[in-house]
Amino acid sequence: MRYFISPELHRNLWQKFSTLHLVSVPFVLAMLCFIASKTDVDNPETAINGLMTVIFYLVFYVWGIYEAGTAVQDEVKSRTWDLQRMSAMSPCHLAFGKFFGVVSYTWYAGLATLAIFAYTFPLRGFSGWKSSTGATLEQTAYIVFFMFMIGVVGQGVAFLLSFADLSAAIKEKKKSRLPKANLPLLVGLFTSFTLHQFVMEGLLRGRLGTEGLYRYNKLVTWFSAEYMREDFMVFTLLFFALLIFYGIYRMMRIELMYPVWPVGWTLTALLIAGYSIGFMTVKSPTEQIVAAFMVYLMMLVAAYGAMIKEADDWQKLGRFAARIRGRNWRGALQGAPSWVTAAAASLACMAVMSWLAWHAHRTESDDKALHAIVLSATMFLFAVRDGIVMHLIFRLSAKTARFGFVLYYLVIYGLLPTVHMLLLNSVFSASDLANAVEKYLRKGTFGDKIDKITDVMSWYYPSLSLDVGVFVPVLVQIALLALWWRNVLVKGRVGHGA
Amino acid sequence: MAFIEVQNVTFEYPGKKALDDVSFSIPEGSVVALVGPNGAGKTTLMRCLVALDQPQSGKIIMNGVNVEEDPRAVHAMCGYLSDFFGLYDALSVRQCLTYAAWSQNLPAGKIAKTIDAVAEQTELVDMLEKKAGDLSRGYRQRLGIAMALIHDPKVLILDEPASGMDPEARIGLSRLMRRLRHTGKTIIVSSHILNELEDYCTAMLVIRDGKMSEHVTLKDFSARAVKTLRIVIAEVTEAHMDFVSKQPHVSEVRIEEGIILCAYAGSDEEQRAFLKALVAADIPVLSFEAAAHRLYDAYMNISTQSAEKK
Repeated sequence: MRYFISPELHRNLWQKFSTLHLVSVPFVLAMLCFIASKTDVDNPETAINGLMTVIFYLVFYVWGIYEAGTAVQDEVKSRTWDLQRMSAMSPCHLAFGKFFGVVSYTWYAGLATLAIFAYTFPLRGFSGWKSSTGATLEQTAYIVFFMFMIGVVGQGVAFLLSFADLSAAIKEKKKSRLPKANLPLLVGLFTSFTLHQFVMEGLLRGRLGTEGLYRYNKLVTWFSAEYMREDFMVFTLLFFALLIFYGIYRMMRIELMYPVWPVGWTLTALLIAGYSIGFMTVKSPTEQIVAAFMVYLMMLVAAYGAMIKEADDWQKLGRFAARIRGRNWRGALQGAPSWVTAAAASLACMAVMSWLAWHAHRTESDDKALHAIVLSATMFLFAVRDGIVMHLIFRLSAKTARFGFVLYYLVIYGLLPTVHMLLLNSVFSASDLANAVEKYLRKGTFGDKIDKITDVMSWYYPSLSLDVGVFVPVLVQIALLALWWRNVLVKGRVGHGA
Repeated sequence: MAFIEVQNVTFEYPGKKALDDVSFSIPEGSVVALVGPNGAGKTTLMRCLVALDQPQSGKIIMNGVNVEEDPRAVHAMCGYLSDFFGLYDALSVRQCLTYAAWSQNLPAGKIAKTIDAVAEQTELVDMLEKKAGDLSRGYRQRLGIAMALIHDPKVLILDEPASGMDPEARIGLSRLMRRLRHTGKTIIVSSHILNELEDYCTAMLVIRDGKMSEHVTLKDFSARAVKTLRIVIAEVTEAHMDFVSKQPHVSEVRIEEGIILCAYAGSDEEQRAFLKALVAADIPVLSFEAAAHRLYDAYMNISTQSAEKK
């Protein structure tokens, strides 16, 4: 039997499926259906269907996402994770054995509920037009598929995030044995809720007609091609599910100490960016610049997110630096933090966008295109500055790093610019600002006064100004931080002890 | 030839070096005690050895395999039990062992036989149908070791296996370790209870503040013929301490709980002469004996030396 299913799945099934557990699901569902049917004797299918909808969401979404989000962290807290990491199980066996194992009982209960839902859905009446035809078999199949897949994606996201939050769980294990799945649970639920709104728009609201599932937007335009909305949503859900399960597989490879090139996160961000810009119209040069800027922005966000996640992984950064010093280029690349590749991809996107903008500037004399180049470059530099600060904060005190992060953001992005603006407020009124913005929109240039404000704000925020001077503040900050890193931390404060 | 070779390994937490340029080698079949104070870096070192953590720099070679380059091969040849390990409490001992055997890819036909053999080796035969959650601390430890042994690893690494055990369970663990010593496996055990390690260890690694203080085989240590003398004197005075310090072959004189302890490098005959001298000097000796624990002596000796170096 072990050749057909993973040992990890087998173990989970041992633990999850006692005879009592097996029997209780059909028994409880039968009782609930019986009670529901008595509440509406004229149309029992509607009552049962409504109840099953609620139960399915509770079981498959809330409970299932919770189970998925706590799976790996529970292993860490119960101190069995090292045993699994040292086992001979392949990443595939362990990842999917664990995922399907932990959610197996919620799938059992959820699918039983969904079966009753599917049976009663075509028979249910709809408010306002009870006598009209219910959903067709095809419509029911779509809805059941969407409900199921949205839950699976939410569970997958929670499971994936439980890996990302693993270092927190390891630190947590000495303090408490209580499961702490707040982040994976919340993000999993948020994902399911968002996808539900996106995919199921107009469904389950008693608006089923005979022409299709949706009253509006029957067609979706993606990369200039038109798709039936239902089919496009199936593709979307499968795309995200594949992406998530590939991410889970890669995370498990990392945990099992397999060599993994740090490109997964970057590729995921690129794929999501590609999926997103598919909805945009990209014909004119300006539209092309906007699309390229969007991709750049998403890559920069990916790099920034990876930096926040990896700032506490001092060992990884140390290994990366040691391998570079030892000229072990392959090892350095293989063990590089994810933000390195994401940042490299951001730079590549920025280069493409800059080329498009420069081309537009030369052919159409479009100055606004040049602002995009300056904005993207200063955004990148500010991200570099924040990255150095994040690592410095962790280097100084890992225990208070989170507090340090919050304090840094409040001071650098909130307090200092506010104080500066308050000081400038005596010189420039709100109408000055409004006039300057209007001038910019009309003529594409800033007025003198707003230029001065831009000069000040360029110390704190990425800038649009074409003045070369906007690069100076952030470069000065980076240089000072780099000096601090080198002279104070690396040389002077390396202590000893475990 | 060294079975485990550790070269200049460094592992750093933010602001702290848990391992600082650690180097040592262990021959095949050794049973090594890894000792040092809390926070010395023992657990970090063990986790690096079994490829659960990667050091920032340095190299670890185990049986010819570079741990950094092929950590999965190292996982396959190691059995590891961490200081705080967990079991699947809802499963029976047999199910726990079956899961461990499956997860180590043991051939299906061999699993039942292997479980029986490991259960016998770890004295768990009568417990096979009991739930892991119902086992005592001692039996849980044995089950943990049995799960680590299920794939017959060449290296067994145990982090504080005796912590939290009652005396009976410790005796049982000691018996198990003595048995494992004869299987030819290379074993590394960390523990605070040096007296028990004495029973089965052949060498000792002392780690302190992330640095390897010393690596000695107990045979070497015996050859050095340094032992700890324990002298009980009614009302110890400075003059008594002074007298003891000035005797030949005596070093590192100290007082612990009113008892004089000193390192002594003389022969048995010279030791007799030392006692005679004490009595002749009219020092009220109540008891005079050589401490029985070589490992303890070695550790104390190394600790004293490293304290003096500082």
